[in-house]
Amino acid sequence: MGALILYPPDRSGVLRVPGVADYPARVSVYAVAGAPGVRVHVADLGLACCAVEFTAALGRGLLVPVADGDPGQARVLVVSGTVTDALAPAVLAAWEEMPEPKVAMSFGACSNSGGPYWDSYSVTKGVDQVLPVRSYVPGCPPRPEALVDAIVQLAESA
Amino acid sequence: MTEVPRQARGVIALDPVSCTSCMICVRECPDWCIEIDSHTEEVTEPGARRPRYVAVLDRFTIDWGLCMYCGICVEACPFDALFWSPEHDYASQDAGGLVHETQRLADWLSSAPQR
Amino acid sequence: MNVDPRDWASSIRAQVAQGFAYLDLLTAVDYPEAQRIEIVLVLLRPGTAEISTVTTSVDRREPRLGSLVDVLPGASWHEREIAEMFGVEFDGHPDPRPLLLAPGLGLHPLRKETVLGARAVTPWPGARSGHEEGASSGRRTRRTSPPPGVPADWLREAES
Repeated sequence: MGALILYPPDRSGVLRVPGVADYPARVSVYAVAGAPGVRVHVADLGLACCAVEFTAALGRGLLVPVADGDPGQARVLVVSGTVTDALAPAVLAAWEEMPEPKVAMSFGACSNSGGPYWDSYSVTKGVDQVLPVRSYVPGCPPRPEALVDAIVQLAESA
Repeated sequence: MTEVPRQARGVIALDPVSCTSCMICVRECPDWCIEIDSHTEEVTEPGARRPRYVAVLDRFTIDWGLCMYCGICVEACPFDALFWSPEHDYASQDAGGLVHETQRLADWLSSAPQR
Repeated sequence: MNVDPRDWASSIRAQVAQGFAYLDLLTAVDYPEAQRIEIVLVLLRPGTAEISTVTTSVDRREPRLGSLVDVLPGASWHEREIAEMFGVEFDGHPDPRPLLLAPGLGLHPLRKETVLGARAVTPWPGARSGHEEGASSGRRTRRTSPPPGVPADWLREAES
């Protein structure tokens, strides 16, 4: 499909996903507040309101983008928000385009299990039906602190 | 764990002593994420003419992977057995690990400010 | 105002000419008993915010209606949505591609007969009485309530 996904991080922070033009994902290497030495390469696939909590983690300095060329200890795809059946192929494509080694984090009730949309005709009942998930962060939405804690947990186990 | 405000709605804690297994929270939950197992025991008190029947809670689980943190169960509980706690550091490596049992839910109580 | 489906586009054109030029809402309602799908259009007159509601009904078995895109270009997405959700075909729509749903869903989810599979087959934890009374207690089990939001005619494999 000729998808171009910008890994390693590009200043434009644009993730190109097949079927979805120029998806505005944030792709960057971050330092984590309260965890000195931890550098994580994160692609945030913000699909719904949980993505706001990701932004909150940035805005409050819990995650700090660094541009020193450090590749990071862990490469994480954060799926934050509602995965619909219509969008699931694009989520899978983003995952497949991501170079190894990589892990996926499901952030929030919708991507964990469908959450409030557990009986919906159009919502995927958890992003783990589409790709392998290493970390499930509970919450509706989870707090930005929960994101940071889960990232540190992943970086430490990487 | 990163610090958060005390009043944050991070998790719902259970006081198993106050819970009467009345099932109101289970039936009010929009996500069907609470499960309760219980049984009835016969209690005969000295001097009582008839035995009493007491509900005993066997198992109380909440699936945090499904929960939408609406707090309807906390509001609906007539016996003040459910409380908000700010704890949030309980991400899991597998989806099944988000189903928390009675004891784990009771452990959150110590950080619940309303209690 | 209810109009004949054959007069749909011309009626709306007349409304727009009278100043009701702002498309506020275009949606549909399924009436299975009456075998009809009602299309509801709400127009606003900019400036005074007066409302004009125009409805029409199409046959539920073969629902089709003339497109309004010529009159109100903003109706395009709404008509595509109604086409997916209710199965109404809009004649003359310039771009009738699916808008929201995954390909191959095979149903029109906002039609009343749509079964929400997950809700129909998931055992409702509230169906249990809670107290599993043993024979020794000699008391009747409580009446169990039906799961909320699951009509009786939905298949429930969990029950036997």
